[in-house]
Amino acid sequence: MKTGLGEMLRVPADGDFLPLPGWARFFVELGAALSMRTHDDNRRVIIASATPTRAFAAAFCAVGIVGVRAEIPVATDATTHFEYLTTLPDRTTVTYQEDLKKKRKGWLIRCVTENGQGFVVVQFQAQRHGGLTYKIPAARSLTVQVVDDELSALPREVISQTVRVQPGLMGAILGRSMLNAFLQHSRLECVIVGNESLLREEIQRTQFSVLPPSNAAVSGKLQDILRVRGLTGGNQSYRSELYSATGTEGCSPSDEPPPVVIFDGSLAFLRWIAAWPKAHWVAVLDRSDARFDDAAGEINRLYVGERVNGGPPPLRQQVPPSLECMGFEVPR
Amino acid sequence: MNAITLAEADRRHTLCGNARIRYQRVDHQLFRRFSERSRRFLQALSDTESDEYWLDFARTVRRYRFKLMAAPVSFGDGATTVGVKAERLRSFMLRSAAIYPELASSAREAGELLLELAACGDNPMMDRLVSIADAEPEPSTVVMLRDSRLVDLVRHALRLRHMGFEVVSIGAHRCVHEFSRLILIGPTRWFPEHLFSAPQVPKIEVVSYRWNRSRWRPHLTFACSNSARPPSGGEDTADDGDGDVEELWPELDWQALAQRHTSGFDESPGHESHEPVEARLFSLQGGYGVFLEARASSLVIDFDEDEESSVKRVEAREIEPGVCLLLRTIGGGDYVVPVADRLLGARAPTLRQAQGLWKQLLRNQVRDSSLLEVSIALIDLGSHRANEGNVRNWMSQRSIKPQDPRDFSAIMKLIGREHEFDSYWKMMGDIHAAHQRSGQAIRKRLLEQVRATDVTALVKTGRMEFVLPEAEGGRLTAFRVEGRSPHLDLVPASRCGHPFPLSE
Repeated sequence: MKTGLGEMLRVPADGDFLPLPGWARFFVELGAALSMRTHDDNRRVIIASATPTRAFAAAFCAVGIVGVRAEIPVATDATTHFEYLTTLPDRTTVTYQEDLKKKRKGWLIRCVTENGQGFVVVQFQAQRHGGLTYKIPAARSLTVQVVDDELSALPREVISQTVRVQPGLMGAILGRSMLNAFLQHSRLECVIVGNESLLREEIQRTQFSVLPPSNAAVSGKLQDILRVRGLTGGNQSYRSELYSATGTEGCSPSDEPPPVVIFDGSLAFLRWIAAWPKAHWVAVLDRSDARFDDAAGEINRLYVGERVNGGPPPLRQQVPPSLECMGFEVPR
Repeated sequence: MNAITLAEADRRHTLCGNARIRYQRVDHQLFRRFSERSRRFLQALSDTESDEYWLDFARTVRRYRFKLMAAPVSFGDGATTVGVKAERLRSFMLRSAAIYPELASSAREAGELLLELAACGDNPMMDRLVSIADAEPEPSTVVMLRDSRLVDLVRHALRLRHMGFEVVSIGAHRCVHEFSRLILIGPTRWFPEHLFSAPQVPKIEVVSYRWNRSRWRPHLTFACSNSARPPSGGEDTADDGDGDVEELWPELDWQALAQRHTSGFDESPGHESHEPVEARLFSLQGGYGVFLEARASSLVIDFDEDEESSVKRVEAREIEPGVCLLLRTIGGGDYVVPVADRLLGARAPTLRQAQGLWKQLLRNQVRDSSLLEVSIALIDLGSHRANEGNVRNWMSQRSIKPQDPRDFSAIMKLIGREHEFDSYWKMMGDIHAAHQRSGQAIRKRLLEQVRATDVTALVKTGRMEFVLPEAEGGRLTAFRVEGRSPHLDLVPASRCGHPFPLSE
């Protein structure tokens, strides 16, 4: 991605493609900057923004996070995933993503090491009907994912599912090889907590375009970039998760700690403040929220009581005039 | 909360630097003198900690002053709204001179000016609205008032002058973006900060009396902001300095209100409907109030929630200003009971009779001793949660049964029905299940209605009627909650859930 994502994204209007407004680009860049921050085990970043409206701010911030990290291959995590698969009991139900469009369902039989190379053994068909079994190299272990709907027995015929993957906006952002990796592999880059119906409207139903430097415009939704888990349909790969601010507090269903959590609104921040104490936080506080003062007070309390000095400034972007922002670090 | 488009979001960001705030100073010599004198009198009264003798007079003076500062109504109409009775006021002032000579002179000054204003038809705020409309005819203007009780009066006054301004109270701040000009009546401190720090319209006019300190000052939200400057609502075109008096909007005297609206219920103390229960008083849009039983839950519409959970049942302690409370305005307060009874079918009378019986026998025990003694007796009989509050709740017809069977067993022992514990526990369980199904059915039907209805009117007016089939609750009215009492009061059970005009 040579050009900044904030500049590539466009808003279709009357046959034209308008650039994102400055405040929207700010949130994309904020997310991008946060996701590129060097990991420090001892400290994490809190960024708070007071906005005239919450609309689209969290979604754009998430776009910045996921968009930038889309270029980092997930394959680097394959060893860890293989180790995780070795801990699972035999006959755990899994899917195997054979290629971009084909997924098969079966049982994880075991993980083995042969000649120094690890393999995941997955069986897709009952023994008496042929017993189709694959040995998948550990380096490709991320194509094997555990699923919730368990198989009580292996079927006569192999269960294959054609996955409809629409790269949408991402098709114009990433190169072919990176795009395949992006669409096939899951990795939780960020969590958004907020009003689910409003966020769905912004992420799934608002049209955007990407103008690649030398090609025609590609249209799509922010979901093409965010790949919010549960909104992708079926068992497709994901890059982010969405939680309702008014839902019950709990940890991530994937048990995968998100590097960044975006609180979309004062209520989301106040209700979920304790849920992800290790992640970087972005709090988007709409000035018209009924709990705005409470949330801002809580942010100030964290700043006064817990901030640590000495690191690189967490917020380097020029803040647009409609926003007020504060960034600081706290112990992790 | 409705989703807004990217274009609308961008408009709001742009307005943050470009909205025009114009301060329209209004003056009226007589009203200014009245304001000064009444403030002086009220200050003297608070210094002397005087007795209840002055309460009504002080309340009248204060209410009149704030109503007139808060709405473009004529001084004469304002007096009618507050209920000023000239003869009564005069005789009170005469009487006071003999009883409280020190306070009486400042009271007389304020009182006489009030009477002079009451006889005068001047309406300087309305005159200013007319001049604003003439100078800048803006087809889409909303006038916002601090007091929702004055909305209808002002709307009527504007219609008489053929002015097509919409009139709303501060609870309707979500709908302001539909207009191109916002006119606020009263000093800026009476209104939500975000109307200025995150303006939704390009033009804001603040119409207030000259002596009121009124200008909005931008300030930073965070302890150490990276912003170049505090958020600004835009251009400030005030042509002169700020006023010299800072008057905060008077808080409701919840204690006095609760006392006023719970008196007169001294009928047979053993009767269930007059049995006191712990309840919280809420003020509702349009000058209504309602008591809600502390431990019971009510249906609310909350526009801050996701669509799926926007209609929900919450306990009184969780109800915050801004949500819309659904109350049964025809056919009694509780809409869950009649629907639950229909679900229970032919068994309903027997079950309700059993419910009424054990509660009546428990009330008899309390009547013959005390809440404390009954609580202790229940603990001795194996109850785990028998405190005075819980016993009061268990006696109420609105609660069905204790959650813990050990508490219910202790009650059955105390009222001499130990041998019927199993059958009563089962019957109360059936009622409880019917109430839950009833609540779910009403919630589901209401959610369908909310989805199918344009709720803009509810956001704007703070009140809307929903008509469900009779078998599912009948007619319900949604009222926006404006305030809640900080404390609980003991209120006759029969008063709970019924909206009533909240006279200050």
